[in-house]
Amino acid sequence: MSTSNIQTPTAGQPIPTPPDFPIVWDDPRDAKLTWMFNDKYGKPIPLLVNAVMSAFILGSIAAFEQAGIPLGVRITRINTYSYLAIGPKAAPPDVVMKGMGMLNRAAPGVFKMMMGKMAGGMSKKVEANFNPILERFESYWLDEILPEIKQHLAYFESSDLRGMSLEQLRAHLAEAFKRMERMGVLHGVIAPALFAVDQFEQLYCELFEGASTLDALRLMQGLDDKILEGDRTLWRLSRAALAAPEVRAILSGQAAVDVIPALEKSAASQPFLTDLRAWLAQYGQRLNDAFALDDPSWIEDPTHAIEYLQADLALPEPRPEMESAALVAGREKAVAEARAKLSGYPQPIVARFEMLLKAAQIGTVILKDHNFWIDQRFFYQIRRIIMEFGGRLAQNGTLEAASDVFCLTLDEVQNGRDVAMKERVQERKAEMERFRNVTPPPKIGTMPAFEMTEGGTLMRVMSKGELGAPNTSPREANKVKGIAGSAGVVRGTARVIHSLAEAGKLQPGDVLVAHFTLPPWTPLFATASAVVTDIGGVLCHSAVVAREYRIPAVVGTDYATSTFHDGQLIEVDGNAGTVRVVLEEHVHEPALAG
Amino acid sequence: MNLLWLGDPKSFEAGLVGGKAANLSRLARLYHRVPDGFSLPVTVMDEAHPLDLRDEIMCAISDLMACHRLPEFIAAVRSSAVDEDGITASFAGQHETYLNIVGAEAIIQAVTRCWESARSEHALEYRRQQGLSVERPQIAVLVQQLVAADVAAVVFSANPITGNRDEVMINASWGLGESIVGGTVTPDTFIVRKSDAAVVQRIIADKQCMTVSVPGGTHEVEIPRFLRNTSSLNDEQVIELAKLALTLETTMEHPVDVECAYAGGELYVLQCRPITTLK
Repeated sequence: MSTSNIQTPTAGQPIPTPPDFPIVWDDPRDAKLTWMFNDKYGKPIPLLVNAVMSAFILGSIAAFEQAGIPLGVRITRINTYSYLAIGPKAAPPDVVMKGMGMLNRAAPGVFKMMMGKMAGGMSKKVEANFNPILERFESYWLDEILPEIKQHLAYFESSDLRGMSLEQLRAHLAEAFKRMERMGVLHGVIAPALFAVDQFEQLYCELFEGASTLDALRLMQGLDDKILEGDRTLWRLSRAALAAPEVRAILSGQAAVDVIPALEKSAASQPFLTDLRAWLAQYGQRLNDAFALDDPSWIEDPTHAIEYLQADLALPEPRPEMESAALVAGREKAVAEARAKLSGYPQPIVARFEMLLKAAQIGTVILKDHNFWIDQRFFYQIRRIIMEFGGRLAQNGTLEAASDVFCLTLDEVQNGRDVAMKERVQERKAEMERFRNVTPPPKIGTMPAFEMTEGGTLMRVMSKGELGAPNTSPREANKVKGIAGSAGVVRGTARVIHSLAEAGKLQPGDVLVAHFTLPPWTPLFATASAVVTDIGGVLCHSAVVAREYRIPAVVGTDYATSTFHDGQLIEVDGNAGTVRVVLEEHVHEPALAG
Repeated sequence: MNLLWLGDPKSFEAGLVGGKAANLSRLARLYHRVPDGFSLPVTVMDEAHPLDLRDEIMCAISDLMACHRLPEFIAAVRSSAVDEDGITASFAGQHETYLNIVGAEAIIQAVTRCWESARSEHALEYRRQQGLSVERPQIAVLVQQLVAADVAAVVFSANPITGNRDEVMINASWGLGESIVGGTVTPDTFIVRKSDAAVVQRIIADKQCMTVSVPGGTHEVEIPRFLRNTSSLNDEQVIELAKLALTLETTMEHPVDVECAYAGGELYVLQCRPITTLK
């Protein structure tokens, strides 16, 4: 996406909109708010997907409220794109906001002090709320949060959608939306998880002079989680395929979409096919992207899993189990060294170090496992319910195709038959098509009267995860600066990947350049020589997985996908957090370690 | 037998083991929570080179390890001039202190360095200035178990600043006592009224640094932020320390300053001296 060349709007003033993005506000008061493009769903978002996302995000925000931060969040869909407005729940009256803006201009020193005090007060609240959770974090996750998540999943897994009457199905969907908000709350566990790692990292860097964030994170490496477990078992399947000549021939000779039909016809491949289906049943309950409910899950369309299997065949041993042993050994060594160093320290410091170490290790696993249970399995279940509606609506002629159901509103789904439904769906699809090539402005509405310069603990902590923080480095032509996410220096051919559908172009040794990555992308990390992203902090998916796969990563560069293009030879410096073009046009060759 | 155990009545004599060890020996009789150790008396240090005492030191250390069920003996090795810690002249620190010395070999080395330093030109010059004998340096060496202090405190049984003898003043901070004694940290201050053992004042300082044990010695490091403004003692400990100082003052028949440490929740007495500067 190209960045717009609109001038930076002034504080408190309406934000000018580009001509191809005219905005009509449903409620004129909304024009007074600052709306940010929700780039987690980067494409035009179908109405029903937007409804699901809104319910879920509202739940996530409730989790912040529990943490002592009354955030008010509104979600809207403008010109088919999702926008978020975030602010304090009880927004101060307009006059106060204006006053603050004036104070900022007249007496920036006083303003800064006031902001600092406010942030300090919020930080204290967050710390007071989260610290007791960290003390019992393992039990909090294993005995409280996870069992409840599993309970909701069991409810959905055990429901016989086919056997339900339309009335029952409607009630089931209403129940699903109720539980969705609750799932959003449970998803809020990532806030204390990020907080745990953040607090550990801060203490570690204070205690050990000259230690970097990445040094601190070594004490969290090599911990197993559900995402790695899925990747590892798929990897084992690729080894089984190598050992079975018929399977190997099919996997290396057929296009991904033709593999399963070919396996079905091959008698010798039946044991492998059984294992593959078992893998898909267990780990295929996943969607390709964040909230990509309108895309088939891997159970419905296993093409991506097959592609990964095919890529795994080309990879040399040993991957990834051997590496995890090295990571575990590295972690244990780092923990032992830290403990030895602290043996002469006062007990309160040793106790806090041990408490935070344990909490941060659990937090690291939660940052992965919550995704497996909620972002993948739970949304897979929601897709099943919606698709059941879609199937019925297509069957009774209300819709053209089952998947058109995503273009309906929740109310339309719940209230059934409508003769004009097909036309409405076509209009909505056309509208999404029209906006697909329009770049949504990053901010719309009115610029805030003043910027929150001091975000406090929660903002700092959250910016370490998927959200990242705005890049303060100036934009350059052939270079980006971001956050050092995983150590090492590598040169490789750039491949800009916008979605899993493009993943096939990544060749061994290439540098994966993406806006951000998600757990369904992890097997790509075995093929890539390095990873570069636009958004994310040191604990975002890309950085965490790059450390596990021991490849360099630079994250949160803001501009990587708009600076680099396919075929350039680029150098990724995961220690300094920089990426630069080495050669403009580059004939592919294996990565050179620098 | 060349070595004298702390608490052995023979080591009550300052002229033999030095004022510090003599005081500690008396303390060790009163309170069992004086870190265990032994002295190499003046007479021995006069006649023998520490290396001649090797076997005996080794033997004493393995006794200490067996007695306290220690996997390793970690020691503080200090030299003590016989006229040090007397009533009139307090010049602690003139001689050597080696902290966190691990194992018999390293301890023997530290004792040797004490022995050599007492014969250094610097030490002799100091004694000359103080009008003390320079013919015989008269030092003893104390080898004592190092307490891995969580909190160190210096307790004055009279307020050394105001001269008020009706109150106890306590300075305390995180880690070993060196940062308090050396003045590199502003410690927490507690004032306890003697008449009713009430804590009348608490000043919790922003404590920046602490001394910790590191292999081969000690090191001054920054205190992590979460602990800087936390009180290093609770009220119960403050009162326990004040009562200890009062008892010692009574025993010594003079206002005292007491160096103490809390380690693993236990209170240890590390040193007790008369306050020489009291108005």
